[in-house]
Formats: sequence, C-alpha cells, structure tokens
Amino acid sequence: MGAKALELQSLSTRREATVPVAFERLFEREYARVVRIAQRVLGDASLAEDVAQEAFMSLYRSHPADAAYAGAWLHAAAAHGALNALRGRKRRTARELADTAERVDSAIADPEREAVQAEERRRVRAALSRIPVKSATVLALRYSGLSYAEVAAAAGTKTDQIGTILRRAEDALRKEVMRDG
Amino acid sequence: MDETKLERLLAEDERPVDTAAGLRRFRGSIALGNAEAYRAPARRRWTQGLAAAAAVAALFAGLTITGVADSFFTIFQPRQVAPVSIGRADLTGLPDLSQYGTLTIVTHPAYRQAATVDQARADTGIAPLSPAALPAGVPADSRIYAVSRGEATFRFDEAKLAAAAGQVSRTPPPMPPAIAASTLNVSGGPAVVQSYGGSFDPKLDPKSDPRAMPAGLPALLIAQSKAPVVRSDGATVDELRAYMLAQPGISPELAAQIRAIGDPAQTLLIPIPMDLASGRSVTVRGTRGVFVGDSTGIGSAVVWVADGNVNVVAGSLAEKDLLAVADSLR
Repeated sequence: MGAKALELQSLSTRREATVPVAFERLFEREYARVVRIAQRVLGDASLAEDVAQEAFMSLYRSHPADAAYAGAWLHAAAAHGALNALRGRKRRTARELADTAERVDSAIADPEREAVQAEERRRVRAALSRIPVKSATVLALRYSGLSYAEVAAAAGTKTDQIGTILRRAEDALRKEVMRDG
Repeated sequence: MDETKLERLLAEDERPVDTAAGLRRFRGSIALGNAEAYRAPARRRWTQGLAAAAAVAALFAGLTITGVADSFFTIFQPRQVAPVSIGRADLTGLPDLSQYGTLTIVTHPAYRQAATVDQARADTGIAPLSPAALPAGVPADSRIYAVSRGEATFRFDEAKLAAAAGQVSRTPPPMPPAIAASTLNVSGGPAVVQSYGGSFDPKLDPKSDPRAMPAGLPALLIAQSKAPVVRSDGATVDELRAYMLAQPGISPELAAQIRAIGDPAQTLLIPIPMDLASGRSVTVRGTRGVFVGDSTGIGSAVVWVADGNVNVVAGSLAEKDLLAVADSLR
C-alpha cells in the first residue's frame, strides 16, 4: 500500500479531522445563521442541518474561508439548498401533518390555533417552492433575519435595489399563497 | 400577510442550533474523505463546469455493451432523458477530462443556414418539426440551420493524469489498466436547428455583428439531433462508471443521483445547475422529457428523446407556452 493510501486510511479511522483555523472561525461565526436560513425555508431542523453541512462542505471544497464573500456565499448556498430540498420533498404533506400532530399533542395553550398556524406555514412554504428561484431566495434570506445589505450581498444585487426586489417577491408569494387557499 | 407576519410564521418551527456539534459533524465528514480530495482550481468558471458536467454525464451516466464484431462496441446510446441536479460545488469540483487523456476531433461539425426546410431535410436526413401555432410574442419569421455530424475520440492517458495531479500535489485513484488502454469514440449529429425571432449562429460574434444572437435565447428555438453514440475499444461499462464516480470532485450526492438512474445505458442526463435553474420530468408527446426552468430570466427549455433524435425546444417563454409548442410539433 502506498504512502498516500496509508495516509487516507489513517484519516478515515480518526473520528474527526482538523480543518484550517480560518475555516473553523468562519464555521463558528456563520453556522447558526446558515442553519436558521434553511430551517425557515424547510421547517425541519434535521434537514436544515443537512443543508447547512452541505453548504459548508461546498465552500470548503472550492473557496478560501477568509474570502470577503464567504459569508454571503454560505447564506445563498443555504437558501438555494433549502429551496431545492423543499421542491424535492416527496412526502412533504405527510411529514408536515406528522409534525403538526406531534406539536398539537404537546401544545399546552391552544391546539386548534396551532393547527391553523401549521396549515398557514405549510401554505407559505408550498408557495415559496413555486415562485421563481430568485424571488424565493431573497425572501428566504430576508425572513431569516438578514439585513438588506446581507440579502443583497448573497443575492448578488445592489443594496438599493433589494427593497424593490423584495416587494415584488412578496407580491408573488402572496399571490401563490392565495392561489393555494 | 405582511413581511413581519411571514417572518414570524416561518420562525415558529425553529429549534436551537448547536454549533459545536455541527463542527464535530463537519470534521467527521472530512475525516471520512468527503472533502479530502482534489480541490478544483478556484478560477474554474461556472460555465466551463457546466460543459464539463454535460460531458461527464453523457459519457459516464451509465453504460452497457451491446457487443459487435469490430473492435469498437457501442456503450451508450440514449433513448430517454433524466435530470440530475448539479450544485455549484459539483461543477467547480468536477474532474477536468482533458487531464485524463487526449481528445481528438475526427470530424468537425459544419453549421450553415439552409434555404428551405426541404434542403435542411436533405442535408441532414432529419425531418424538421414545426409547431402548430406560435405563442403570442413569437415572430413568425424563422431561420433553419443544418449541422453535419461530428466525431471525436478520447484516448485515456495515465501518464498525463499523473503529471496533472502532481502539479496540485494530489493523487487521484489509480487508472485501471483496462481504462488506461482504452479509446472512446463519440459521435453526435447531424442536427437541424430552427430559430424564431433572431438568428442562431455560433460563428457570429454578438459584440461585432448586429445579426448575431442577442443576449439570451431567440424567442423560440427548436433543435433536433441524432442521438449521440459512445463506443469503446476496451473499457467496459462497469469499469468506466466505477472509475469516474470515484474521482475526486464527484460528490457523494451526484454519484448517488447518477447510480439511481433506472436505465443508465440509454439515459441522457440533463445537468440542472441548482443555482440557476430548476428541472423536472415532464411528458412531451407521450414521451418522458426534462423541463429546465431558468431563474436568471434568460430562458427555459424542454428536452426529450424520440425516434432516435434528441429534441430541444427552448426560448424566453413561460413554461406552459414552451410545453404547448413542444406538444404541438409535427
């Protein structure tokens, strides 16, 4: 077995590998936010973490961690990854119903209200998966608490244009939500 | 429903994030070799990667041997299409095929405008299809182009790969002897291209020629091409696919998608760049096809294989109009 193969073999037996310090700092700074972006879109914490891990892996493979655009890149990757997962989910309805049932069962205050809100969340997410990708992306980023400047950086547009883009995206989303209703 | 309510609504599912656990999970993935591989040069461009993805998908989507008496045997000839999602990292991480061997153009395809539909048919042997009606906004003036057959060979070269890997201090998996000794023959076309509302001539430079295609597609483009054929003089289906899917830069997700194709020997993969477009299966004239929806405003397309031809209808049209055109072709 060659030296490289031995090196790869020893890597695979370790539980964790080391990553560059710059990447680790970026991860600690951005991970929670990246997961939140995916969570807002998907409504599924576990799937959101998968999307976030994939976004960081993609960046790790192809870009320097200390690049000025790294944060914006990750935000965009999280939104795109989550939207793709949202569109690709085949058993979305069944899963959401199961999540709703669980939440309703454990809800203390108002199960009926929770059921209504769960249905609203389903409709909004379904609508998000149907509107154009660019519109859905800026909305996903904005609804995750990013500032206009951050949304613009991730979307690759100018900050002074993002307000108009967001308003149009919201109009499109509202129309889709009403269509579903 | 205003922005504040939407944000509050979507935040209701949220759970706390454990960043430390996330980092441990990430380090674990690295240790398993998910990213401990060939990092693509940062300068590789998205569009170059898309072309590479199409080439890799077409060549290595899944192959079979039909077996013929001469030294080359057909290993890929599509009869259907399927979408495969390509992330930005997939494209930039895809192996550079030029490092694996030498591509030689045997026959350059020739491209010229035909005076009539009959001339295009005579030049290519393909009967051009026409839409029953054009959507609103698509001008009736059209041009028709005939493209002749092209052919190329790709000879694998282990020494070339070793030299390229040495330049970036990386070692890809060793090339199996059967592949190292193989040559692939790839042929495509002839083809017919019809353009509505603008010319479509790759020889024209948009910057200097007003006749050239403006930014984006013509209003409507209809292309029909004899399906590509890949033949091999040595490497088998299993060897080629296993080798290519093991290459650094092929993500586990991409490899899983390709392996999941039900009939890969006869399936042409349509790469869908996730950041730019969405793709889904549709039915066109009773045949399964792939609709690619563009999110940049340039255009959309639908692709399907029928009667030995790969058909594409593309344009800056709404999805329903594009599919209506495709369904009406006669």
